[in-house]
Amino acid sequence: MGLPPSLVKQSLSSHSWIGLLVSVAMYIVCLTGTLCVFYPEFQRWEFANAPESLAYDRSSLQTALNNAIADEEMVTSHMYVYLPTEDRPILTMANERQDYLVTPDGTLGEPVESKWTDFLIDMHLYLTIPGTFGLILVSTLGAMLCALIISGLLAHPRIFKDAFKLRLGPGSRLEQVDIHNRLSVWGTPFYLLIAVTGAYFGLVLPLLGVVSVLTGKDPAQIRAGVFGEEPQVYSESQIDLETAFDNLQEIAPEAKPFRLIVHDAGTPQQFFEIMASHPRRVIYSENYRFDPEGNYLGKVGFSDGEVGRQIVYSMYYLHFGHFAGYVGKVIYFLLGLALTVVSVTGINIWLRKRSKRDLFNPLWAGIVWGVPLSLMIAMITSLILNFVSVPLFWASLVALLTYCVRVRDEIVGRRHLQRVSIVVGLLVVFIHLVKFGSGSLNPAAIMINACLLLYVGILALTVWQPWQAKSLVGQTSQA
Amino acid sequence: MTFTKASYLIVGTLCTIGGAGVLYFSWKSKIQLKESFNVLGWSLLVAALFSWTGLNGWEFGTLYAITLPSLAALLYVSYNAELNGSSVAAPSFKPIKKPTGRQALSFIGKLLLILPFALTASIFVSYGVSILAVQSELNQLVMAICILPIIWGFFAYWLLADTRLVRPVASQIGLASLFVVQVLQV
Repeated sequence: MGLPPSLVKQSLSSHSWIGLLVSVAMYIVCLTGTLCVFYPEFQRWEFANAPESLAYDRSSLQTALNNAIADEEMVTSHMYVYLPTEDRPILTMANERQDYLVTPDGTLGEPVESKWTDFLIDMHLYLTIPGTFGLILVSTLGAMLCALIISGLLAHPRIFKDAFKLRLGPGSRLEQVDIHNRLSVWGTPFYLLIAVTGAYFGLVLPLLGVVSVLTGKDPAQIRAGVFGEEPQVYSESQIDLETAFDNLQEIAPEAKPFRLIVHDAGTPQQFFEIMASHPRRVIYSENYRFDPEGNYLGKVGFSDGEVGRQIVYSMYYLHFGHFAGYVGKVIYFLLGLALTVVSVTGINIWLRKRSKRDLFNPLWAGIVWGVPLSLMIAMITSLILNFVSVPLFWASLVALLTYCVRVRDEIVGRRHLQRVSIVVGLLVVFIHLVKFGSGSLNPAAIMINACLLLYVGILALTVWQPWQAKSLVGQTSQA
Repeated sequence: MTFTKASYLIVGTLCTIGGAGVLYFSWKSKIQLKESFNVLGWSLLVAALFSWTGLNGWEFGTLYAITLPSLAALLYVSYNAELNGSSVAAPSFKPIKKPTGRQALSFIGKLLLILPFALTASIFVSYGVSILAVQSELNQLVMAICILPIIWGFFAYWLLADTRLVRPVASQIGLASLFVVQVLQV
């Protein structure tokens, strides 16, 4: 039994409308999200000469933390310690402004900065729009992705008949349709997971607002119900990390600590949480709380509390794929890339369906190839000048779009952007090697540089393949 | 222990690649037992879930079982790719037509419907549904946030797809009002 043709037609029209509405934002969020899967590697690539080791001395760390808290210029309400993990084998300490290396003798070393990675994450979470509006806007894309999944499935009456069909052909609309439909249908469970978990981060705010109005409860009180209330502590003592770690070992021997947060640092109310991952669990962490003397105060209950609390604390790993080392990351990267291609081919299909070409054709080509190029330009400013500017990113993208519009031929525009991307990609690797020297040989830096070279290689193959059209003469357009 | 882990890994991999492969074989061939092969293919993918669960627990296992068949199926899709050399002439370049006032209004109207209107309706509906479904306040909130994007997505789709706009608008207002009353009573 097939779907009624009128339903298919209406679903397709709804699918196109929503797809066009969110196209640019969806593409940027999908692309940056795919890259964010490897954000710890990008961070390590950015501070490649930081000494990497999984081992650290607890007593030196304790000294460093207590000295930082005693320093009036350094201390902020929350202080953070990032313990070395396999993802990020560096011991650092941070206040609310800056992250610093912790040296083996218990002093703070150089500031650790990963401006490009921070920018990438900011782009993915907020589209660089300040405040909660950006977060809500990006989360709205999660709901719109659900709408696209529903309308896409209902607009696809040959879903099973075409399940494995892939008709490739340069410039053909069928190619775009087949790539779009195959990647969409087979990736649906993953896309739905990403949509729901992605929407969570921003939509929780309006939901809390409505629940607060309806139930008359304070939003902070509702939030405390989910994330646990803070313990009441009064102590003049310094932080005793060693006792806390010993106690944790007894309470939860399977827990692997990876972060430490001191709340109300430097005040008599200060207490600290050791965030620890648990094997075989998707929860981000269980948070074990201690008073300054290292006495165990209790845990929040993300590992064994109410189901809702466990689900909330699983959202991060479910969305970013950091739950099972490189296996999870590679799966999420590939499927994230598939979703990015789906968002590009969807607009390509719409462009190809029309009986005309207009400014939208070169603009779309400019966005598809201009965003990764602008990201690489930001990499260069980050490496050379230690500076990544949001306005500069958008300005470079606008300049690239203007160029594509002036060329008026999307194939030529695309090809030129690809050629510039090849040069910029090689430049990024070259500058990294020159800047960090032997530091470029850390495993994460090798991986990122190799991926950049692979991207450059694929672009080179695309640009110089002889069977590709050189311009739109005798060809149809697509990004 | 290592042997058991390795066997889970091997069985999981074989079931995933094999399950997608059987589905591909069933799709490709015109055999009479197509239905049976379909059942076998999906069964192998379900069996993979148990292997992944044995390997890494049910949480990771479920995630592998959700994501890996997609990648396995896409392998067969690329294996089945056909190259079609034909191409169509590109249409000529034309200036963009300025939208009429009516088109602009229609666009803004649709935007207001699928964004603030559908969001508000879906918040009330998802919270109302979660109050009916679960007892604990915490779980109600979390269930609401999990189903909210799906309900919002469905409402947005419905508003755009229905030929008579009044139907989804009235239904969504009605549903939202019902749930508001229910929430206020609780």
